[in-house]
Amino acid sequence: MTSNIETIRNAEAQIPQLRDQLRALQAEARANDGVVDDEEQAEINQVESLINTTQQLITEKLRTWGANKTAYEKLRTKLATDLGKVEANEDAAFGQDKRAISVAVSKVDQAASVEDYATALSRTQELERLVDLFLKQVENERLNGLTTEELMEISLADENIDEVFTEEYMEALMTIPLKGEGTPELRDVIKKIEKGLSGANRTEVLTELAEIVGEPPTVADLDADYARFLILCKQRDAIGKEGEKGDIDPVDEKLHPDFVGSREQLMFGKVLGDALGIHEVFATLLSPTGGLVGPGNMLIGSVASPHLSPDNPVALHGTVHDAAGYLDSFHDEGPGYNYRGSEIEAMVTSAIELLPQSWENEILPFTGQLSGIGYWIVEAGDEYIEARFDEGLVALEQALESARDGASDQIDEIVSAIEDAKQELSDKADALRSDMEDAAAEAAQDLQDLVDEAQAEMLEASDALEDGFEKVSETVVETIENVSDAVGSFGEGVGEKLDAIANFIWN
Amino acid sequence: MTTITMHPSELAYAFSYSETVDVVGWGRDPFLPTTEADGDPKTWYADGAARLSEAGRLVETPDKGLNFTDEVVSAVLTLADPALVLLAQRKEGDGLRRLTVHMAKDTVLGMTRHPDGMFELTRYADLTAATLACVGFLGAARSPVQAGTRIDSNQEALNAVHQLATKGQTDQAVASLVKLGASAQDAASIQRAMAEPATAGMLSILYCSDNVARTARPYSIMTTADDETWILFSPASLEGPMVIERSSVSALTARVLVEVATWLKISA
Repeated sequence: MTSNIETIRNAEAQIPQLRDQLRALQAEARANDGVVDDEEQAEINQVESLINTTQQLITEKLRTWGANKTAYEKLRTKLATDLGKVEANEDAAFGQDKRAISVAVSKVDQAASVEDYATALSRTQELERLVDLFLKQVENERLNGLTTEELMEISLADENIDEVFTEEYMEALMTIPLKGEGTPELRDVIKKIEKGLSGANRTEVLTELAEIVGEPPTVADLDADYARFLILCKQRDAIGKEGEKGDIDPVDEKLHPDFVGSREQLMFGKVLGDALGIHEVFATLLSPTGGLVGPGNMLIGSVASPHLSPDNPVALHGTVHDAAGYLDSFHDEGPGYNYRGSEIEAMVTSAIELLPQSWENEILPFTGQLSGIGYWIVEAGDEYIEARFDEGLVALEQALESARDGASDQIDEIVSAIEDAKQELSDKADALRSDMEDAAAEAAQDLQDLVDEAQAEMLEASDALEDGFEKVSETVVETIENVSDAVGSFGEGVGEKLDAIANFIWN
Repeated sequence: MTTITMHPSELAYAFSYSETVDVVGWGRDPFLPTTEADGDPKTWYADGAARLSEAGRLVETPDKGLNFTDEVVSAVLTLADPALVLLAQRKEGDGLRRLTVHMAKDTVLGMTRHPDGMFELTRYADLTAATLACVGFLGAARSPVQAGTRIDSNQEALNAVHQLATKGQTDQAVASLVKLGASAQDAASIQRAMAEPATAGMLSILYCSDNVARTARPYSIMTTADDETWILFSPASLEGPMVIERSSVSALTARVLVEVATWLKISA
């Protein structure tokens, strides 16, 4: 049985007949002697089982059919705009591709008209690939017509670049399969592409590549990506030259014989490729040494195996950082790391739990006023906006007084509770010991258990405070010019604020 | 709360794999070789790798290749790309002692440097514990204080008071503080905290992204010989008001926690 609705409906139509058959069998069995013998029961069971199985299959297939229908309709709606762009394109050079898309649309419509959404979905996915390819080729044609100066001014980033620099993306990158990784075949093809492709050689090498990493991508997909890669190279060289970013180095294969085509290199290429909308193999060639992170690169001969496993989160962070740096330097792109405040929310939960329940209400009036204004201050630096922002912050600081008081009381309790509990334990045990040593020991143990339980929550905070006091004598005394020098990298206005407050201590 | 010590070359070696140069709260210099005896960078990194291997923090297996232990991975990622850093700097003569706390994902990590150059890394349970460690490090008064003892002024006026107090013009400093709204008793206490603090320092909350401190909320903290702590801060920009407020271990910890929790709500 397929998920075709006709077949499902035919199956549904059989259920009443099967039920009739079952009823007839049951009646016949009882009619003879009023007793259903083993043979009759077996026959009844067989029909019942057939009815159950058929119903289960119908339910399952209907669910699949419904899911396919929803997915098809969603994708088809999404494609509408792009299909309009294809239709509007009058360039004769793309006539053949337009006709192929038109045929693909007819095939989709044919399947949808008979409600065969499994086929319709699969054909729409193929149609999407054709449309994407078409639009990419058209866009490549347009980009090829731009001057270098024009190319430097435009964005060549993929529309989904913001999704690349997220925690979720990095998590997925760790285990993502990269076809051909570490194989001599892929290494050879990458070296051929690095030398440059044209004419018959271009088709031949890209066919070889498709055999390793496809399909998909098809040779045509890879060809469009290669064309975009050449445009990206042009932009890279122009922006890099203007910003004096230095030359793009090839991989030194004497030092790194296994690097080309390795997982390390392809992971870097994957990040860059997803950010720029090209296949990872071409993206690696935009910056061939990308993904070589760590001092291991310099330590050949000194350290046995200098390359960290590429799946290690530290190396992964380095790879993504490397890609972000390249995008910023050579394409003026990259949103930086898209970390949200919620990332550390769990660690602040304990702090929030100390606050009175009303605290969120207290900040509520300020939330809308303050969020987003910071952005405009950075962008516009407008004194009026800054003054309004200051007003909001000052009012908020004052409104939170009761929240701070509530938290402060609880912290006092936490810090003092341990000492109080220990003292109580000691006093009680001493008193009992003088009367009856055995009972005292038992009581002391009971008390100790209670204190341990209370301490489990409070000990960490109390210990941390003592740890802070103790650390003073253990730390080195340093000499620095300005407090802000110690901060490392900081944004606009941070150094000024730190030094202004530091003046009250060090001047 | 667990603590490990690491040689700077171990950290430098590990940081290089995450393409990290600066550590917020420390910069880059503390992790680089400082003397000729430390050798060139190659030797420094090789030494770091050897130390890590010896300590079982860098492990190579035939199936998984070369890997840091989970403990080192979480420490390096937290130091290399924190969302929040608390920078506690305690005055010591003209110099300072430093404790930093770095937060990222599920890790809260404290870091100090010993006189022999070794770094001490302490893992705290949560922000409350880490803040208490910073506040303790800065010598804040343990005794609870009554809320609301504060003067709302501005940078210029408080700078002038500070100048008077530190140049020995005690009476003028106290008079200026009274004029700004302090009681005579509080004014005398603030003057002593500014002129001759038993302990003094700064606690800066640094909100970070991409390993850069984007926003800072610094507090200067001064405690007198009578164990009275005063903090000084700007609730908004430097052009806005500046506040001096009576504080303590619990009051300052609460202020930091509320500040961070509020920032999370507003920036969400």
